[in-house]
Amino acid sequence: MSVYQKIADDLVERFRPAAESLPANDEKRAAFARFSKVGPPHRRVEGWRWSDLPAALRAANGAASSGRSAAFDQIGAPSVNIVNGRIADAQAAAALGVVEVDEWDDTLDPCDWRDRFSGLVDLNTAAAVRQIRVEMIDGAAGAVWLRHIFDSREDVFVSIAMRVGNCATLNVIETFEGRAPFVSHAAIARTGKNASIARTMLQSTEQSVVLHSSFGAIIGVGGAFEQSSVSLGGRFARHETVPWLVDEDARVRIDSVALVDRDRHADFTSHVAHDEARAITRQRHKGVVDGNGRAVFQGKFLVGRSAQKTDAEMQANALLLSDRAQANHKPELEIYADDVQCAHGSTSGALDDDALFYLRQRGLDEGAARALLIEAFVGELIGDMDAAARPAAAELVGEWLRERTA
Amino acid sequence: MLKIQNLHASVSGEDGGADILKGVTLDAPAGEVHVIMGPNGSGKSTLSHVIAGREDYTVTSGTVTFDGEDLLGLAPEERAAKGIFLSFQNPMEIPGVATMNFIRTALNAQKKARGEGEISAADFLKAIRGKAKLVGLSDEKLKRPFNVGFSGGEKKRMEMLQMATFEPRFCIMDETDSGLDIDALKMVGEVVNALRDGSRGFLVITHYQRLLEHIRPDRVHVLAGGRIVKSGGPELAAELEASGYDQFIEAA
Ligand SMILES: Nc1ncnc2c1ncn2[C@@H]1O[C@H](COP(=O)(O)OP(=O)(O)O)[C@@H](O)[C@H]1O
Ligand SMILES: [Mg+2]
Repeated sequence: MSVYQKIADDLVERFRPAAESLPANDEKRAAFARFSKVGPPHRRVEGWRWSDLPAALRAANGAASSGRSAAFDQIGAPSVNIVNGRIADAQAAAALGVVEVDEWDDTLDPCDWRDRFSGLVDLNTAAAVRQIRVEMIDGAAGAVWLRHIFDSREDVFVSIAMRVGNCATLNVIETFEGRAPFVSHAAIARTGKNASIARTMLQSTEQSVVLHSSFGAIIGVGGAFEQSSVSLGGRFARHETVPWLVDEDARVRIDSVALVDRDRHADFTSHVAHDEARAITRQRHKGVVDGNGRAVFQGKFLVGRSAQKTDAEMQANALLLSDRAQANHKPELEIYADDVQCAHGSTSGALDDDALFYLRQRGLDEGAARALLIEAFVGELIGDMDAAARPAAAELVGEWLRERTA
Repeated sequence: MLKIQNLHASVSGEDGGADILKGVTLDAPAGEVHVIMGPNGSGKSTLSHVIAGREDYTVTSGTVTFDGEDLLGLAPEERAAKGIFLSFQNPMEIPGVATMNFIRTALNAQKKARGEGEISAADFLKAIRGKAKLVGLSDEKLKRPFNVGFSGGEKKRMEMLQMATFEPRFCIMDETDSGLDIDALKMVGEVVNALRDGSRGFLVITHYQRLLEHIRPDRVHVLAGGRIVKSGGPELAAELEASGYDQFIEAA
């Protein structure tokens, strides 16, 4: 047995009790079987070279959570607290108005686009106790903040299904805080015609968290998908975004910011599938890495044969603040249509000495000058965020900078 | 005010190589305007950066004092707080940095270091609007990220805006006049002359006589090969413009 087979088997056994403790259910059983067979990601699996989940899980422990993230207090949207994957305040959820948020017994399965997700989504399907449902009716527009709080000595599995009706707009903010040995979050959104979904994801969990989250969205004709995210990493934190543009004239914007220091790890991985004509996709990633941290960015654009006139751009920039800081970028274009405009760019480097000297000549001390330049580096993406989440995102950046200079 | 004694400096690092500055001595008292002229590569910008505290250069010997106090041991921001201002030859574009916010933060950082009170947002706004008009920068330009998309001349105006706003005690102007049109030169003269109250000093690096028609210099020095090879009165500038630097390149 190869060492990697052993690593995969160990992962399966680690999660088996969580899956088998749930009431028997064919779909869950099938999902766990798929996970067992092909799912456990280790460093020899495509897309997992730089993100060593098994190693992070071996180091994971059951320490209790030490608190909440104060930055999130600034979020201006109606909230639903979801503690360890379960809606904690049903009353708040019931009082939301046009957005409906509740829990039911269903499983998440991407079915025919399953292979674009990692096997961990199968694990989530197998082990999530209940599913949270977010529904926006036709023609409506509204916002909801799903506040995920983790405070558990056991692994946590969060499963979410979202539906956005025709001509409807859903503004969803998802925040992550606290800790658990392992957090698995999987959400799939389905949208109608001319519908749009704007998602903001802010992750400020504790240092020791091991977290995997994945968000899939099927975007219909004339639909829009916008996502902005800030991740502070963790022992391991990976966020996957998988939009599927199944019809014409879709618009996509995906912005991701990662701020990692100490031994933290943040991975942003996305796969945008363009199936039909005239989609416009803009993706930007900014990673700021200090200490022994590592920021991984893997972005893929798939442009199918019918996706003529696709206009897609991807840009990843990393700022390395220490000698040991690492950034790994893997931009990927897979194009089958002939009349498309696709581009990608990737940079990584240190803070600009000339700019630092300029700012210090004007009177800023070194710490303030560095902070100003780091803020400027991520500022464009923060500035383009949803107004309800922007102050909290800016505060996360500010907190991160203050913690480094303190 | 600013006293430079036998200053030698080289590029920092293991293979820093030979000195760029090879014994510069200069005394610029309060109230006076000193001009430095000299061929390309003679060390003019290096001198201005060393005075301002750029860590890319290592002072191998010599001293720089400001009102009798050693400058060389101070961080760039400490020198700025003491009133040393450098108008850069090639000002930076700094994407993502909001211009007004930056200038106010810098001004308040200087004030704080000097133990003075901060300027309020309202007072600052009033002050900077007036100065912006003086240097010819529109409100729209002030709203852009710092210097982003500015022409060379606009960047020089932004340097003058900061100089007028900070009211530094000692202004080093590194080829501020290069690339400026006639009206802008006049503006630079106005900014300098408004600050010329007898208590401040100026070190003006230039290749042209033209700016000196607006700013009457007290002394003119020729820097060649990392040394001051000649000093004289204002007439030296005119002489140099007529005869060029050839004579000094030999000498250096
Ligand atoms: N950071 C640096 N690294 C290497 N060489 C430098 C550096 N700064 C200045 N020099 C060299 O020192 C000399 C003087 O440069 P500089 O001070 O810019 O001249 P000036 O401003 O008089 O034109 C030049 O030969 C230049 O190439
Ligand atoms: Mg120069």
